[in-house]
Amino acid sequence: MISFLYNNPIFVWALLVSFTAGIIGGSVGPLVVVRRMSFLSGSIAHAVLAGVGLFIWLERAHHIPLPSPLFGALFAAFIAAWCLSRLQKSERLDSAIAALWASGMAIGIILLSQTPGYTTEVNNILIGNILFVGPHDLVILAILAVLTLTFITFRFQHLKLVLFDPTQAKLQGIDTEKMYTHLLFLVAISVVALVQVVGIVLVMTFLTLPALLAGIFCRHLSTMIFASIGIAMICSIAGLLLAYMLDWPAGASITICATCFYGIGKIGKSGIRTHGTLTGTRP
Amino acid sequence: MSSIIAINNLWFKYGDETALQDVTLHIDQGECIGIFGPNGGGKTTLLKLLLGLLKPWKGDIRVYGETPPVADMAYVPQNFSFDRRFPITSLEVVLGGLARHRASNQIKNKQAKHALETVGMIEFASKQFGSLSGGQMQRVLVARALVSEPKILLLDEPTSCTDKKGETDLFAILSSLKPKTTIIIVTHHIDAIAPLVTRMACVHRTATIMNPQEICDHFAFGLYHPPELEKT
Repeated sequence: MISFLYNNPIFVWALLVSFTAGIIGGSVGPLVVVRRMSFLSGSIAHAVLAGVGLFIWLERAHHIPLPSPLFGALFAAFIAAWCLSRLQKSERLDSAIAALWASGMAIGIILLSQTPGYTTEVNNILIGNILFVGPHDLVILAILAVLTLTFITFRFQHLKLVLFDPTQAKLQGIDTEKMYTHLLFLVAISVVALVQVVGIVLVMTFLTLPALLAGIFCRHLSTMIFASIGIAMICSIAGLLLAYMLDWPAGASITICATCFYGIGKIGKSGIRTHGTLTGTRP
Repeated sequence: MSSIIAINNLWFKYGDETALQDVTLHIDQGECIGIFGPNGGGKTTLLKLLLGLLKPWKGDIRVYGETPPVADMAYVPQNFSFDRRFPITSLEVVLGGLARHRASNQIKNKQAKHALETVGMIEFASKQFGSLSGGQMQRVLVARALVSEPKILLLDEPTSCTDKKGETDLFAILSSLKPKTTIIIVTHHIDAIAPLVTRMACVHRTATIMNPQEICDHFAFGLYHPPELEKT
């Protein structure tokens, strides 16, 4: 194994990137799943294309020196998160999510159509390409991972209460709207991190599947987060190995592995339940 | 005794729909007030206004001379909607009542276990909250309200899912809290609550204060409607 890793530095690099993204996605995923925000995350992910398109267009069409398109993605994700936080009380939140989803993509497509030359970054952003991630991007990802973990660690009790029972959280003096906005910004950060690995199209599955699998077996939100991070990392290793052996795209392979693991977990859990019922160990 | 809750000429509207009109109610320290009335009469709205979850359209509410929300109030909700698969145990739910307290986790855990013991749910402490029955959930929510030893306790139909024994147990717990805690309880079980309360308020847009004996007279025939309608 060590010699394999030694002889494949690209694989090691891909592992480093996917592990960092896995820490972010794995820790935020359970919060998204228990708050039922999966599609909301999807709309942030798709709105990211507008930011990527804007940065590439400004750089190529107007020769404005800009940093990595990752910053454009982060910029668009934060704007999308802010818009959604303003709309959280709207009775038509689902329609607002759809509108943001579609308009973000539309802005990105228009800007990219006006950009001269061939934009390889767009394909990488849409379907993900771990090898496209540079050393600077990895540093940004690591900083985002530290920020995410720090926020969740220090605000965990309040986050849990807001997610479980917002009314009780308000009575305990917690600013629930502010906390919800912070949560949306966390989702925005994780979306940008995951876009690097699995791309916009697959980001939602990576944000939900490890958390869903962890949720099958965990009784506490804290253990669900730890398990989800672990599962996200295992899915990354399995997916990258699959991609390496079969020459498949890495992002799609990771997603397929996560889906398979979730299916096995679900079947395993119902098997345990059935066995328990038959043997009388479970009422 | 001094009024710790003062509601003066309170109005509240949901859009154009008037939920409460010109409600005036003063509650003294240590009192136990029963609130009853028909569905949609504004009972839960009144509690939410007291908690500061809603803002009055007109009029004034003061709790300890301050505008709600104020600390030292706890609430047991009527309809608790949540995701049954949410990964949280009964003990963690009760700990949610101590979020604003600055004690150590060890002390908080001890207090939460004591509250669960009070409501007879200690053996369910590590059980998934979503796996409990409706009555058991209500008891855990009562424990969450009791854990912080609040000065004012608001309960919105806390026995709607419990059996007769659960109801008797809860009323015994509430009785033991008097007169240290001021209790406001919304219920349709007038006969069961009558021995516990000092006064009752019939809330049907406005509030009519009655003593428990008057209530028994009004509802002697099992009719359930506001007293002012009977007069006409």
